[in-house]
Amino acid sequence: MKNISQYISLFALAIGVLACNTDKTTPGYTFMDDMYVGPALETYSQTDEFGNNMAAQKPVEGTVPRNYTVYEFENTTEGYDLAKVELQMPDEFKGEESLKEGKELYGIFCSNCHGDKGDGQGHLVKIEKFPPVPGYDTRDLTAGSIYHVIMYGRGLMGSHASQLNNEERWKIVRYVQELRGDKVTTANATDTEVSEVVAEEEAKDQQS
Amino acid sequence: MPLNFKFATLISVTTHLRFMLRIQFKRFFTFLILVLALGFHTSALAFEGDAANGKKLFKANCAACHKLDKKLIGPALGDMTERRSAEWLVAWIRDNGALRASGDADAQAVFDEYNGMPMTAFPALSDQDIYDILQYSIEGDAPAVPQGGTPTPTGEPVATTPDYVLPMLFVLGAVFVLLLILLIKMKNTLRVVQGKDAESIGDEISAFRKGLVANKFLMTIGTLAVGIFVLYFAYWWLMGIGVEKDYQPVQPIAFSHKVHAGQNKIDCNYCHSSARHSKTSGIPSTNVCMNCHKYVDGSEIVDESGQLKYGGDRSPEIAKIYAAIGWDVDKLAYIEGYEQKAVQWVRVHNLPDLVYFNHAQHVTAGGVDCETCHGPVSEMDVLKQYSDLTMGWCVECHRETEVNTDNGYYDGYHENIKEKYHTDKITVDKIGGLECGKCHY
Repeated sequence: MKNISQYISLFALAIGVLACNTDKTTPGYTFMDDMYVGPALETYSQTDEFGNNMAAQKPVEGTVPRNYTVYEFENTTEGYDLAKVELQMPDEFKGEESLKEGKELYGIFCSNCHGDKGDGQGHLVKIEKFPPVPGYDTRDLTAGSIYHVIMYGRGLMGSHASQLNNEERWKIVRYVQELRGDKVTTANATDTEVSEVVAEEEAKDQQS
Repeated sequence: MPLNFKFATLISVTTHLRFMLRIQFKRFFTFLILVLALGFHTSALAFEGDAANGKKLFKANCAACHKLDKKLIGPALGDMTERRSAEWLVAWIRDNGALRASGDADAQAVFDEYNGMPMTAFPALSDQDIYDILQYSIEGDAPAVPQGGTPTPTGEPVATTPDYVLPMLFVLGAVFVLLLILLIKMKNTLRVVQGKDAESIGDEISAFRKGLVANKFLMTIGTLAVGIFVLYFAYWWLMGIGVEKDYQPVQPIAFSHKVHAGQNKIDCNYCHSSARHSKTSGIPSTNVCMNCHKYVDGSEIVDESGQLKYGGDRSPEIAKIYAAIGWDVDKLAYIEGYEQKAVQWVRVHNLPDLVYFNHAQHVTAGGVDCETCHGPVSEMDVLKQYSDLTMGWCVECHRETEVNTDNGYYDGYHENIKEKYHTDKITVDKIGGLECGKCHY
């Protein structure tokens, strides 16, 4: 009887001590580790399988990821000049829908420096953490040159190619043109007909 | 301030050219320096400009690529009037392409030095505008008063328990023991007065135990109470296994979400850009850091007292980014052929492998704010796990959250659900958000 009560009190004490894991820099305990840590590699896990010990690997040389869009203009002054003239916005991004999504994306990726109105008065510029940014209307820009700069960056602005895919880049270009007050016209249609063209294409997509 | 000493200087130079033949070498040398300095100074000020207006123009047109005191995209401009004549600068700023085309060697040299990156032409600036900018480049900013609103991350959580609580408890405990001893002493004194033997403390305790063991009722209640107490703690301890709430690991770089998401108001999705598209929210690769830290090297960070935290040097934490990606801070360029290293961030939110969670499904399809699960991240210097991340926590949210019914394609489906469950509120669990196989497979 005496032994049992001693065991119980020891057990209670042990639980009390274990329950007081106050070190929050360690993750703590798990029931069955095998259920928590699977054999499959997680996106950012470490592994001995590859040379650099990372599960995240670049595509094999000569291949591209799925849904990847090849951009053929080079990251040079000549490439910029060429893109400015030759690179045209595909018609599918000229409608109201991409304008709406472009505005949302602009709010995430651009407005902190370029400002909500594209005047260069973003939050980071106002609190002087980042040097002043020129307003869009003070520069000679085309859809092609805007896309090129999102792709490669220019001056102090870095490349945003890793954060935005092809479609998102065009949607932002669409919104920047709106901020600049540029007229956006499709290849064979005037401004007002754009949304109709897009609607027709969408209808075709749904049928097929 | 119109200052034109050019003519006067010329006279003084010629006069002293004759004079210096007669003076000693040492004195001549000091004089030469003085004259040279004067000469530079006067040629710089051969124009009249308003520095205040110049500052405004500089911020609007030049500051994106130039600083006065150091090289950025283009050269440092603080000493440009010492290096070039005002006429040359006007021509260059107005249209540097035309100046280069005219065969100006200096212009071509600058263009080549900066890898053929042409400067934007500013045909709209008048001569006076450019003089104002030049004047500003000479005068510069007023002596630096550190910018407010940039307190640095301290990385240490603020202690919430006041310092005096623990000593206070000790004092109270001591007083309690003292009172107990006094009580026993008094009892003994009374016993002696009555003519009985005094009892030691050991006698007292054994008598108390005998009395306790004899009392069956008290023993039963006591055992039950201890049993429930033990079970209660055992239960909650077992329930806490695998729940890593408040987990706050030490990260390899002292990155502060409070500074980036709070003060700088950078959108979560800017850095965690894959949260909108994929299973993981995406740990930003260092090239995303460099979008700002190409420029921001931490030398301007001030501490609480308003002093420069690193004495004007780069922040050692930001230097870790440069070391990882291979950024040459002097040349302001990436090092060719550098073997880049991964920053080994410690993952804070760990879901067990037995459950599937997808960020895109919640962020893009569900429109759930990041803070709903991750808590007030913009107030955390060191990130910690805010939510339980238990199954009960998931299920609770799925039962309460209404789904977006804007998509007309699903109208009929939504009507069926409303009929089936006799409700107008379509929550996540009504569209299958509680099915086992949705998360466990």
